[in-house]
Amino acid sequence: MHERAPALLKGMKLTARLLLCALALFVILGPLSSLVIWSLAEQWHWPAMLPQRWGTMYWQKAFRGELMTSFVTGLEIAVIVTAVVVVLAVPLAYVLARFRIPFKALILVLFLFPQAFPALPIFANLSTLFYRWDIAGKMSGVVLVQVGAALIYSLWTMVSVFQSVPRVLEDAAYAMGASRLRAFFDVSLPLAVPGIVASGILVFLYSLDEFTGTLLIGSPFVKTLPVQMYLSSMGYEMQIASVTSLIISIPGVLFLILFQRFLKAEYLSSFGRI
Amino acid sequence: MNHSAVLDGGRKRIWERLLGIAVTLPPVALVCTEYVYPFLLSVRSSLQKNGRFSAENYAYALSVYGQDIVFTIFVSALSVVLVLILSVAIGGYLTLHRNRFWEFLFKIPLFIPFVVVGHAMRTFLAPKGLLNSLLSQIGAVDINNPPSFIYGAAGIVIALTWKQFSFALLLVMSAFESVDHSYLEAARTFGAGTGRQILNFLIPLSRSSIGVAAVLILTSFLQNFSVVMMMGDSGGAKHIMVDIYSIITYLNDLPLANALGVISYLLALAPAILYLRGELTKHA
Amino acid sequence: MVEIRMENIVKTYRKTAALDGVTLTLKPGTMTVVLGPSGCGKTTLLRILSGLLAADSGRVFFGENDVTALPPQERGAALVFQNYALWPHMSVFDNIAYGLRLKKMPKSEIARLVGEMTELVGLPEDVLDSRRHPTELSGGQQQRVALARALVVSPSLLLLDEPLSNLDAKVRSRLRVYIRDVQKRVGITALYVTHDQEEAFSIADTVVLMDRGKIVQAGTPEEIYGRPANRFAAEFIGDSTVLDGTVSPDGSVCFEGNSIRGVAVHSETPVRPGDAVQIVLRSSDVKIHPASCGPEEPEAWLWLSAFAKEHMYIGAKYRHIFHFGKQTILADSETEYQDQPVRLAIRKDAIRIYKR
Repeated sequence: MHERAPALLKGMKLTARLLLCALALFVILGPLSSLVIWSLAEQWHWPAMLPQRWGTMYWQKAFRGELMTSFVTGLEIAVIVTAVVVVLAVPLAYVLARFRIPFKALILVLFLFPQAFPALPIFANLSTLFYRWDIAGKMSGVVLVQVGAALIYSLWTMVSVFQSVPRVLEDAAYAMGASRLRAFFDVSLPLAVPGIVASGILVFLYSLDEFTGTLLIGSPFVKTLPVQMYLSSMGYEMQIASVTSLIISIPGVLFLILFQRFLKAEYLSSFGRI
Repeated sequence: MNHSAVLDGGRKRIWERLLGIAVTLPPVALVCTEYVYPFLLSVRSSLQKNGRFSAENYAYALSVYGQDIVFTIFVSALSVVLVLILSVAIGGYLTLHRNRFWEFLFKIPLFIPFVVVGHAMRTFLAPKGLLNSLLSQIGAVDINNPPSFIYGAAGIVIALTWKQFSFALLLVMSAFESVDHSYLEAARTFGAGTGRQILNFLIPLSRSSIGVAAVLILTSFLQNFSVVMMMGDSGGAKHIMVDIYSIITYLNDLPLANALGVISYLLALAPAILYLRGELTKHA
Repeated sequence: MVEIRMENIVKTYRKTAALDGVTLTLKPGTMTVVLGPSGCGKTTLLRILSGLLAADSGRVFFGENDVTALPPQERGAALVFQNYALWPHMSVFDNIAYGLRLKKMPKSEIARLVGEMTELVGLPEDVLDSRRHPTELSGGQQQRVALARALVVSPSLLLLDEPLSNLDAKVRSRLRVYIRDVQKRVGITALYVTHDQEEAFSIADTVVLMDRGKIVQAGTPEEIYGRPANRFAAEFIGDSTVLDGTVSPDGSVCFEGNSIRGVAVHSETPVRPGDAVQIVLRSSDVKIHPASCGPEEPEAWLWLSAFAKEHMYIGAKYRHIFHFGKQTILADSETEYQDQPVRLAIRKDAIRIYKR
């Protein structure tokens, strides 16, 4: 018959579980707390476990310096990219969702292209093209590059959103004499707004965090926070880089906290690529 | 039927067609110009040496960077295996014993961009970084000679695994959660514990989702740029993205960079092709 | 086979008591059927007995052993689920063998037991072919596999959670006989949950009627049907009609101008003239006679005069609808009565009257 486990075994099991939990916490939060500590470290010599002197000096320094320009640049780019992506993707998504288009599958797969292949070699060649067209090193170049890559996020989400809008609602509009265009603006679009907002947020976050394209196409004039952070980290300016890292992370973590309950796998899966 | 009505109907349809094309063309054109065209350019460029067509770049790339290609595959494969093991084990456990705190905690890396992960790991794993200073407190590491994690394979694997484990967990758990609960209950009535429920039921019933996750993540590792730039510079083997960047920036040899680039395209395609082949033979 | 006992089981979900102090004994080798409306707690009872769900308080005994804290496999309980829960990625053989494999039995032994059990539940041998999967089988066959899977581990208690609800009527009536047959042959103690009364009565040794977390009545099918213990039981079992009446000054019960004498009024408080009462009777107990039939045996039978105007054909018989004031009595008959006066005869011992 069933025996009660001896108390020692139970105790061992408990300790093992506690250790595992501590390990998991350490693994997840360790690198992040390292960032936080570094951002507040005014003086830190090895081998002390914590900085000798704490302070917000580097935060202040960062905000006074180039960081603010990079932050604003990144924000501007993100806003423009999001707007352009939404304007381009929403009508296309509607057409793909509602009508029988030849090569529909091919088109959807085409937009996967930027994500399917390594960006670096492609951008290297693209930058020579952009030089010829005089948009390299300019914000417009960076915007164009990001739009191309981000279209897929908005497109796939919006196609499934439009497919879920019941067709009968549009049919009711036709029956009353509305043209296809009117039905789209009056019926389908308003119903799709939540999806547009969600995919807009995704694109916005993607653009804020984008690195490779901005580095290759934008340098040396257009710098966003990720590029700034990369440069300071490689230059061993640990504190500034950590401050920058934390600022970059804030929008994403905010998104996580606020939308914990509404996050569906389809939306979240886009984050695997940022 | 009214003759003019037919004409109007036809005209309307042409209008709609034109509108449809007008809406489709710009995005398609954009992606083709910005991505497909340079892709093709890079293929062409890779086959040019001193103005003529030749495969010399490839020969050179394979001989000089062959070791790095192997390194790239090795690091990516190791990371994806770790990611899968961790996400399946933890995902399985959390599916069977729901816990909102841990589910939230494990979602965090998903929202930290690759670039930030790179820097965070630099500070954490550096010879004089947080990990080593903590380990030295408990005597596991020699204060005067701290090991350097970040330079090389270990650092890259740790960083990539840390970030993408969260993504894998998401995909794996959503597949596990869609497994009918009565299957698991039935298993439990016959004595299956958490481990067996994961091994005998959750995993086999989620095979294709796990496969998709593996392909997506492996591809993201093979293509990664930000993390490997920040983490892998030990003077030994490097990730080929680092090589491509160096060739462009320092050697200014675009054809060679493109040869290595085309090799990287093939590497990026390989997991998807292998997966599709596996799926097709399964259904045959 | 041991006696299975639940003592004072309480289970609460958010302030509602799913089980409110339930005590039940299952005699070894018997088939107990738990019957009741949805939400009465029968499924909760089954799950607590199985070990999948823990009670808030109370104890469960398998024989002498207190199994309250034990999971299903350790206490020796096996379940058959409503949706069969056969694992689709495993073959039929592997499904049945799983429990035995977990017990680490030798391969030859497993093969033998699985073969025997397959035969016992009436499945053809080729179903054990290594490539046969549950999804290829019909619903009835799948349920037999589920039964085999549960029985092959030699449990002390077999629990069946509305196992036939997903099957169509013909298969249901055939399979329930088979399940009962297997249960008797193996001699296993079984608890069967259902909402289908006909099913319950046809296979049970004991019927347990539940309402809102409590056991209302437990007994043989004849006892439950013939002598319902209270108003709920009387209303729930069978095809009941509930009518309103009042107590007359002379002690009889008045129903729409008709007088019912000789039927006791069940009440916890003294019954006085003018009290409102509810009269419960079953359509099957109401017999229709032509009006020429005189009221015979008025001590044993209640006679009501009525006029046949409405009826429906329900396949085997005609269901007649008789209006009394605003109330209705239904009566079935194989003869069709239309546009003629009739007499309704109801056995007085089939009538139950309760004070409102």
